[in-house]
Amino acid sequence: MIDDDKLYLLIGKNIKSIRNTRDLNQNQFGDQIGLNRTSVTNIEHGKQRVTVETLYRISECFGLDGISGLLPSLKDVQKNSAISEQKEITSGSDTKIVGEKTFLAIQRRR
Amino acid sequence: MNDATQQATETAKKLLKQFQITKPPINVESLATKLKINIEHEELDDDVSGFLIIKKDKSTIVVNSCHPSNRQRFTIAHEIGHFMLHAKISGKEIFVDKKYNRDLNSSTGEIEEEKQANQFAAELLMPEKILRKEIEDSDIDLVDDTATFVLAKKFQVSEQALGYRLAKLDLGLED
Repeated sequence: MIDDDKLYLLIGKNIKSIRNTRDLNQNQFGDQIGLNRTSVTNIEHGKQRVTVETLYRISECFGLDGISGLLPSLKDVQKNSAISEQKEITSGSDTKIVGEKTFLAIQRRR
Repeated sequence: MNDATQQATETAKKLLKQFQITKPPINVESLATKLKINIEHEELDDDVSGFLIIKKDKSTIVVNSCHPSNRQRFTIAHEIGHFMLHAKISGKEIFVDKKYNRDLNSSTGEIEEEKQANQFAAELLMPEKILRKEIEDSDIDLVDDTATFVLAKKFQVSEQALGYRLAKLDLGLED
């Protein structure tokens, strides 16, 4: 089963990380693909379902040869699958699975 | 109201009384400071609202800065709930408030803790007594959508959280 929320979240994360490597802020990026900054934020957080044509515009803007570089693997978007970058936090007998940002934020304060 | 819910409600009420908080919006950050809890805002993974780290000298709540400010307030209140209700008893050092906590291998005890922390947060941010008073004093007609908007703004909570709270307290809409 596909977890739609996870799908759009991961697409958004991919877009954001590539955008950062291109040194574009959300405004500049939005201008290039014809979206306002709010839409860019929402897409990057998976809160807005990005359309296929927008994915192509994004690929064009990033200089990719197709949209596949923006898409997560099937395994990562299946329900109950652990997203690849997830890490374990152990506290006593308790174990929590969290994403990398959260993991680092916790580690820094322990 | 079961015992756990009652306990959460009573704990929040006591706290409001102890710090003489009688008016909305409830300043959860200053309340946390008074309890010697650090508050920090930081970008976390989207499915995490925040977390609480318990330490002997000073505990810290880290809240996901990407989330809307009303949600961040709820998260802080929720983590204060864990601090007040569960830190000592469970001996846990870390509480992570994660969206999928409920369906991924979480024990029933943990689900109970989350529910209790939510109940605590609702009472802390929208105390029954203060909420009733606001509604009476302002003669708000809760059937009117703009009225809940105004009320939510006053308490700095989401309209959704307020709607849920009003329904639970049997205030407002009768349909």
